[in-house]
Amino acid sequence: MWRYAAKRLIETILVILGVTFLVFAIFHLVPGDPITVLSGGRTLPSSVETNLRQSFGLDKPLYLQYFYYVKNIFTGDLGMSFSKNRPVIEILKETYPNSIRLAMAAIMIETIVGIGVGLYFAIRRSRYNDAIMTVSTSLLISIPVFWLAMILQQIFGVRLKWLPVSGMGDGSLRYYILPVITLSSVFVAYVAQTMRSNMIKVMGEDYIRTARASGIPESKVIRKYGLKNAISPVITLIGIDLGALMGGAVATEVIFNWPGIGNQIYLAILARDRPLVMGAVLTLVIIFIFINFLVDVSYSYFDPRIRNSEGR
Amino acid sequence: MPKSEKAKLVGESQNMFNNKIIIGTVMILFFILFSVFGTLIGPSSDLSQDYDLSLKPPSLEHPFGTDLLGRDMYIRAVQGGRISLLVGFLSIIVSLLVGLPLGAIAGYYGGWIDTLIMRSADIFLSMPTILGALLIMALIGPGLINILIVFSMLGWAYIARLFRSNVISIKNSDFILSARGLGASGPRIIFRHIAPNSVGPVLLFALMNIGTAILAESVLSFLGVGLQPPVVSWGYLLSESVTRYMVAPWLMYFPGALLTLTVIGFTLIGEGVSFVFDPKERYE
Repeated sequence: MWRYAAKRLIETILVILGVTFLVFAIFHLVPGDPITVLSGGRTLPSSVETNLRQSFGLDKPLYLQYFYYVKNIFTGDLGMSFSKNRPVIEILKETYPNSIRLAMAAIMIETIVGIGVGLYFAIRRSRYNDAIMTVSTSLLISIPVFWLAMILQQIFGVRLKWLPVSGMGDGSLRYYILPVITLSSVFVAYVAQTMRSNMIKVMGEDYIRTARASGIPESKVIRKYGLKNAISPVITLIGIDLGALMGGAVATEVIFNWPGIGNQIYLAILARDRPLVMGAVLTLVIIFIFINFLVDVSYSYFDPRIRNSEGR
Repeated sequence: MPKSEKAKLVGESQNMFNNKIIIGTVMILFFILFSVFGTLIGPSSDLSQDYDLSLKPPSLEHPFGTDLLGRDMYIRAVQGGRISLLVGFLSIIVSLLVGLPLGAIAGYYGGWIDTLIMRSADIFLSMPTILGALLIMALIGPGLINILIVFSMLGWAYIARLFRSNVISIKNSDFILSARGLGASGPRIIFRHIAPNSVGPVLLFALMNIGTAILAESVLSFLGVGLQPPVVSWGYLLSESVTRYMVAPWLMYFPGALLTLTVIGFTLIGEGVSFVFDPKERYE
């Protein structure tokens, strides 16, 4: 267990370093000297330019620049936002909690609805139900979330005037409903699909037949022997999704004007505020990778087959 | 449930999965034809601006309505379809052009070059598609070519990994050994003997990902880091509608519906294909 965790941790750190290296490399491959960009193309007095270069560490060799870059990221120094003239990290600290709240609500909904729906369609199988399942999951997986959001706003906000379509207001439940439906839509479909096909597989196993044969009531067979064995891959899926949600939230937050990290990224793109965009996206990517690491390790704790097959 | 009934159910759902491939293919073909020839069958065929026609709801003359500048949205939707589909197909082709050779080299030669290629693939595989694309697009700026660069950067790794494992599983077969015995060079063996026998599933997998690429492009364009006018896609049309769709919903209804239906087509093909290829699913 610990060996596997340590191995995965080293891999995770290498991948995160790789991502930062990639960003750093692209940054230096893209034409345009940072100081020229900063000065807006004007010629600066040479003393000012030298000072700027020194203060940004641009006079150092590239490998040192990379070293400082990585060091800064991990000490929380993500630079200054151009548009707000404040440290990027402060802005992130203000907006992250709102995104996490939204993501948590979405996780809850997709767990409950996804597992419930998957279970129902696994047990009540018929031609008609199978078709409903196929059509609705393909639709939810294929629909662009921001378009779904626009339609929900049009129906429940503009036409029916039931729900607010923008912002988080006083943070009451009403403001959460549409963003959460939007954000959880894709993964409700994935969870339901996985749950259904697992459950169907498990219910065909011999031990289910044995349980039925020994006269255990069907509801108990489903709950105690079926569900318990079918649910663990679904739990992993939900874990992986936690990371994906943080990314999927960008478009959702923009449409609903939710004061979270995704909306911040969008506003920063519009304001051409590169440090803020980079800081926000990079932290999201690192969080995503790290959550995947946690999911892998916790899954290996529950299912020894994983760590044994990987520990060649 | 009795055995015969169960068998019937499995048989029927198997039919359904074959139907998925057929329905998906028909949908895709329809939208390709729509994007290519759509301008010929519309009631109006020009994109001239006419401020008297600003933001008119759908009518017989303008079936998809008009935008703020009075341009016909039907024509714009057809043009958006061209770009959306083009981005989907091209990004997969570029990913294949990068991923197949790298996967072949990694699988065939092994050793340090294998480690190097596959470790770098891991970095790209661990990045979430939208965020990774956002990260790189924010660095290199918007545009059609840049989108293709980013998608192939993020897409090659899947293809390389898949093709590598196919190459490894086949490279020690007798017919490869005999080709080597006859003195064939490495590249010749890869191109003439390994590739034709192992590239099929990879191509199919790539085809299934076209929908994902189209969807990802729409998100990027929506967020303002994707395409730049005058090159418009369905996603770009949706992003353009953002400030006005509350009062003029037809601006987003039509491009969004076209986009969704096209992606559904690819999703259906993908589900049907994976069902045919995975016997475990079939005998569920």
